[in-house]
Amino acid sequence: MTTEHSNIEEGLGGRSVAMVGQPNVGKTTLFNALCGLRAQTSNIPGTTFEARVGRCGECSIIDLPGAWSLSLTAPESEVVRRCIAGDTGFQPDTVLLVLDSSNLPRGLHMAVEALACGLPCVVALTKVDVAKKRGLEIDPDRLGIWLGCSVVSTCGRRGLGGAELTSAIAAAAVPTTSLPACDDTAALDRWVDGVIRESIPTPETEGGGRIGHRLDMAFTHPVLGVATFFLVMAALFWTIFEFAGIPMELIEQIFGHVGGWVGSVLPDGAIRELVVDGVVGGLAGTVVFLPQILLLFFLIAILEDTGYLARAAFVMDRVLRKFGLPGQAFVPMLSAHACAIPAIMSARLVPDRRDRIAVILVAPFLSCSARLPVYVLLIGVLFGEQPVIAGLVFAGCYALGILAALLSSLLVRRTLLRGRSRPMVLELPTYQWPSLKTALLVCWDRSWLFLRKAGTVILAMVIVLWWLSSYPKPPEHPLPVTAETTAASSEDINPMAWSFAGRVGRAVQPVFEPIGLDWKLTVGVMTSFAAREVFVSTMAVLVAGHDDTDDPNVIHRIKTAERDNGAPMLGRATAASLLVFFVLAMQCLPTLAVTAREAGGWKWAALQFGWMTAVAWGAAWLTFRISVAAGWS
Amino acid sequence: MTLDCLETGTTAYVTATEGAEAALLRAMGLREGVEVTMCRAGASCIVEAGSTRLGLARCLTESIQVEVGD
Repeated sequence: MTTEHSNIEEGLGGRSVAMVGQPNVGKTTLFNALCGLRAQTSNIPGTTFEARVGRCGECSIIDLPGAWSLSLTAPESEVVRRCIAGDTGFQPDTVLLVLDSSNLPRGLHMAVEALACGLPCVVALTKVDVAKKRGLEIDPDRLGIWLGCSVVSTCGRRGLGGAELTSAIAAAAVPTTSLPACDDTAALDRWVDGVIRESIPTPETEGGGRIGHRLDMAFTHPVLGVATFFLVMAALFWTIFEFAGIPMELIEQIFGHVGGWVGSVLPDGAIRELVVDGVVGGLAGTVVFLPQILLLFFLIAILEDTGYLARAAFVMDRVLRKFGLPGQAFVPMLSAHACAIPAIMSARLVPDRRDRIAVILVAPFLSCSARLPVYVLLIGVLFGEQPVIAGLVFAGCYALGILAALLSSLLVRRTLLRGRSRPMVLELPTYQWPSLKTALLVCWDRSWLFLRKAGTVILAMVIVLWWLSSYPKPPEHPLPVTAETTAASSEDINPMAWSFAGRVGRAVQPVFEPIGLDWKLTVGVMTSFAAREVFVSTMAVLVAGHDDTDDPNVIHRIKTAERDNGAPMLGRATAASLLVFFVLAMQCLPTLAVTAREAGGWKWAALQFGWMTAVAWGAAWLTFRISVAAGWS
Repeated sequence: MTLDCLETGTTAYVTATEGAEAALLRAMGLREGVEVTMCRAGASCIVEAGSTRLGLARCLTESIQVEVGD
């Protein structure tokens, strides 16, 4: 969605074919059947849209966004219109119009607009199996006469009609038949009636389907529907949490071994540290997100393919609309509880740009799994001996994140992203078994895109942060006594404290003083920008001299450590304030990189960082003052 | 009458679509003369038009004129 992407024309070769169709007509399934893995996501030049571009024989196929009509003012319609007209820097050689056999009348109105564009056209009829089940037998030859071009029956899920379609594309010509004017609705309706009468000799025998109707009544019920939604989402969330952990651990172990091996073959020195801790560590810190991204997009693709996701959006629209968000926002907001990065990437489900940016901006408020080690440490300090209260505070952290996200979204939609929301208008597609192939291709596409775009930025950030936390090294021998060094304690020449990050932590400590943090805690906050869980290991290095956080003595030493003046480093007021700060602060540079990519610029990432930091600091200050007033020291 | 006045299970014919989203609604299948069935009435409702099922906000159903058939 930004200019850093490859543009469509870079992936084109041979005859370029623009795939055009309404949403939910099976366009993507057909694209996947034709191109499979020989495809990549690219920018549509001059727009904020992306399209999949794939190779199919001698052709390049461009899967344009689904649009209900080419004459609407909606962004999707405009981008398809501009692409066909050649206003986006390239013009396709052929238009492949995709029509849903089970809902032909609706598609024919758009067909007239596409056929009138002056380019060679071919029509692909999809979902012929669904149409047959309803008793609809479309005669492609008769339909072809009406439309003035070749019509091919296909079934993307079963791979039927691919070869015929490829041949038809190669022989495509500009339609010569007489079509009604697009703006003459009466003539258009009469023409559509005529086409349907002639091309579908058998009338439809089954409506929307009784089972589908009953499922809809359950899934969209105000009570049962909401209960089902939470059950499905709990299962999705649990699956991500439960199953992503295993490959994530494996990735960390593999990179640990790779780092160990590289370290053993390279000579001691800065290069070895750079390769082992910077590059290998940075790669591990990037690739480790993949399992969650893969699982989330796989499950979303499955749910979307079954038709359930549209029903869930219908149910949640009632709730989220009050906070300026559409129903589709529930997927990213729920996923953010596992990790904000895949959550922000899944915000593409939100159709309206303003709504989508609002979701991206507030998603990191929701407590992700990286915050858990920090919560455990700080809640342990606060209520270590009171497990029930500790549990309630834990739940309260999640609730605080949700509240901050919803209120921030309301604020941003009424200020920066002010404007009329699109009222809910959702097509509830027919229920069907999900396609495993489609889900796997979505996973592959999203993961590759993450590694290619956001991953490279994250890697660079992790390497820079490693360097800032590791250099300069403290002197190996005691410092000569000078005015500068006489005050230096042994802790001051701790490697972390001596590093640039440590120095920055010390320099900005006055900013964190009002919320109760000393310089060590401030350094912990600074280094945790790489990832929040780094806070605990940084504190371990600062307090115990090593980062083995599995050692209970290290955690005990963090909890009981003292400040330079002898006061407890983590008093209860400080722990409470720090806990609130970590719930609300944007302590994750990789997330900022993904925000910049998905929202369309670093200004959104800067806004997200500024707003979340300000909210976190303000709430932490309030917590600190109240805690001190309540007698916590 | 407007579409939002239909009770669950009632069928009617669209006579006009008005408002800012009229063109979108027409493109989605809610055209003049199309038979619609109210599947779930309410602030957000579900209607069926031909083979299409749509979830619509009330502000949209208020802009669709319908006539209940005999």
